[in-house]
Amino acid sequence: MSLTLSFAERKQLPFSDILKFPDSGVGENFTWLSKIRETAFTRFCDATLPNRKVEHWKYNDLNFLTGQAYKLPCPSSSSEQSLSKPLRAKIPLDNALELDFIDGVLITELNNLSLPQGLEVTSFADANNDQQQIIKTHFKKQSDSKNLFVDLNDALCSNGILIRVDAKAELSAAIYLRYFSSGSNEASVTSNRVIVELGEASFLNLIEQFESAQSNQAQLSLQQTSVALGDNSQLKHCRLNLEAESAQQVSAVRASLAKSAVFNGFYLGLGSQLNRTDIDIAHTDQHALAKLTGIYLPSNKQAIDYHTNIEHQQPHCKTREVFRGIIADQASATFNGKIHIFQDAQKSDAQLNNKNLLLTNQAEVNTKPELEIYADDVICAHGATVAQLDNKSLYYMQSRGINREKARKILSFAFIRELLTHLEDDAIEGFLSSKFSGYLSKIS
Amino acid sequence: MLSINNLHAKVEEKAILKGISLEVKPGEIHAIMGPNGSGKSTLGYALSGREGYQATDGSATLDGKDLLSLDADERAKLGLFLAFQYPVEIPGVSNMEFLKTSVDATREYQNKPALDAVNFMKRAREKCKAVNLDQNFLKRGVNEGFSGGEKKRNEIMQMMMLEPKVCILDETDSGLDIDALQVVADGVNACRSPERSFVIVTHYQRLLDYIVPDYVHVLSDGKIIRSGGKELALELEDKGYSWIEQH
Repeated sequence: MSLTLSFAERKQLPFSDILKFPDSGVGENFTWLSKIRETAFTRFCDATLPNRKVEHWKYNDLNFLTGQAYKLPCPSSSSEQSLSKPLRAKIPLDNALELDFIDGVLITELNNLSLPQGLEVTSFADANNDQQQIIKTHFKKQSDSKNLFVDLNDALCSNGILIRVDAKAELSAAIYLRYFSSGSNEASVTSNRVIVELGEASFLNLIEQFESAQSNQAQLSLQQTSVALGDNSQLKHCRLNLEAESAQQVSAVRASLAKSAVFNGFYLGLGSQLNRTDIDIAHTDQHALAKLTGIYLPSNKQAIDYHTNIEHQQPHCKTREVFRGIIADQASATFNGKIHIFQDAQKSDAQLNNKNLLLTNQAEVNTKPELEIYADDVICAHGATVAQLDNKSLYYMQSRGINREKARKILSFAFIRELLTHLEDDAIEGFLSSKFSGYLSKIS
Repeated sequence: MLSINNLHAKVEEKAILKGISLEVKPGEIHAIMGPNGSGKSTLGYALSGREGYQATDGSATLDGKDLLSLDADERAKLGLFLAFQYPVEIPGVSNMEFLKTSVDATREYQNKPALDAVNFMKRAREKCKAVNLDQNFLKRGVNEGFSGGEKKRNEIMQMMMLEPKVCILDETDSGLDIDALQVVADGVNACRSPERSFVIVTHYQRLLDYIVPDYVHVLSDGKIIRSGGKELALELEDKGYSWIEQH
């Protein structure tokens, strides 16, 4: 450990209780993961808790971390919870392979699953040498991310899952990951890691849904999904944060795109007291396409934050990114969208757009699009707006007999509606419309 | 039906309406003409309840019910309709959704049975045809990308769907070519009934050739300075507003 006074060494050490090594998983051949965890733990200890002066964390209130001793939820209580878990809403998908996680831990028995041809799902604990190599590569990639939550998640990672799709396999079944934080009577932190590898010319539809029980104790969930897309492969990624208001999540999505790969991501932030998602996409070869659509709807006193970073490392790649937010009540939102075009990445074509609607005088949004361009033959555009509901439109609707409250709701929903078509999935769209109705009815 | 008594109104601290009195009985068509700045549009906005157009004195009632203490949506539900001079565009909300929400809200308030989806569509299509608007317009955003003429025809279509008691047309003829004018006039005339009255606010006499008024009033500097039958409009056309103001 370093000599500087890192926050891990301060008196109030939130995670000291649980960071015991080498307490990893089962079996001797699991020490390979211990090494990764130890390195991550060292990095975490050397880090200082970012304060408001650190640009990358300027708008996140991290005070919730100090003054609390977080514990890992007790494994036995997790399974009890799983037996009596409340009926949660499920997306009515035609053809899906469902994996359930409670407090970050996979409870679905992988052995009982009948996997379609071309699909492999393995836990880290059962990974063979080849699979271990893949997993290590993914961990290595983010070791310079300088994100202490990523480091902490790695340090806590006692298991995870690896999903591999064979070359040319075009899976018609979606993989549906459902995460649930059960909450406990103590402040708890959970950790989860998902790694996805898409072989050449393969196709996968990955859906992640986060929910939690309402609790009066802090529940911090750390999660990361990293994907490597092979040449000509396609990933459809849908990530829905629908947790209860008491939850806190700091998570990351990472994707690297090989030649002509296509990444189509849809992100929805509806739940959590604090929700921060870092999305990092790298075009590592030519002619790749990244499409990102995001909607955030913080209400009450929630704070939702999306930080995106798209790297055009090679020429001829395309990015289309659009995020829209509606901020209600006394909530706040942060959107930081960065596009980095490397010097050799000629003919890059990137568009970034962020629109925000503030419903009250106390609502707040911080938006910062960033373009860092080092090539000279590119097409790039970015835009960010913050607006309030248009009074003229409100009056027009009222003049036709629609009361003001209803008019506000219709106009608010209209603001995000067209982004739902980017989902290209009627089942998810239908599922979300009831969530939106719930949201619209509780905001003023 | 519509009773306006000594109505005063100000906009941004400036007095615009300085004592307007007008009785509009059911089935009647009244034209209000006047030069720019006379307060023609302000009258419509003040009656309809637009924020910023505050009545400072006087009264306005519809079928004996006080309008001025009600919110804009309540006035609309009571049966007041204002066809705007510059209808606003609302992309993201389809014409269909807008119309249906509005028709449902007003019918409910008026204790009329709700229109089911099929009947609503049937009626909407009929009215589309009546004002020469393409069926596809229902799917588009409210007034989104519409020409001036299309917007005005959309206003008339909404009027037909809502079946109001009093319709105020605020310079509906401005910016229209002869054909569009004909369509708008036909639409209005098709809605005429002994239970419905119209207040047509216009600059030019031309529209009144198509929609013949029972009464014409000249508005100048916030007051009605002259009232007469339809011939008054022709006299205005002939002699101009300043002549009327001086005599």
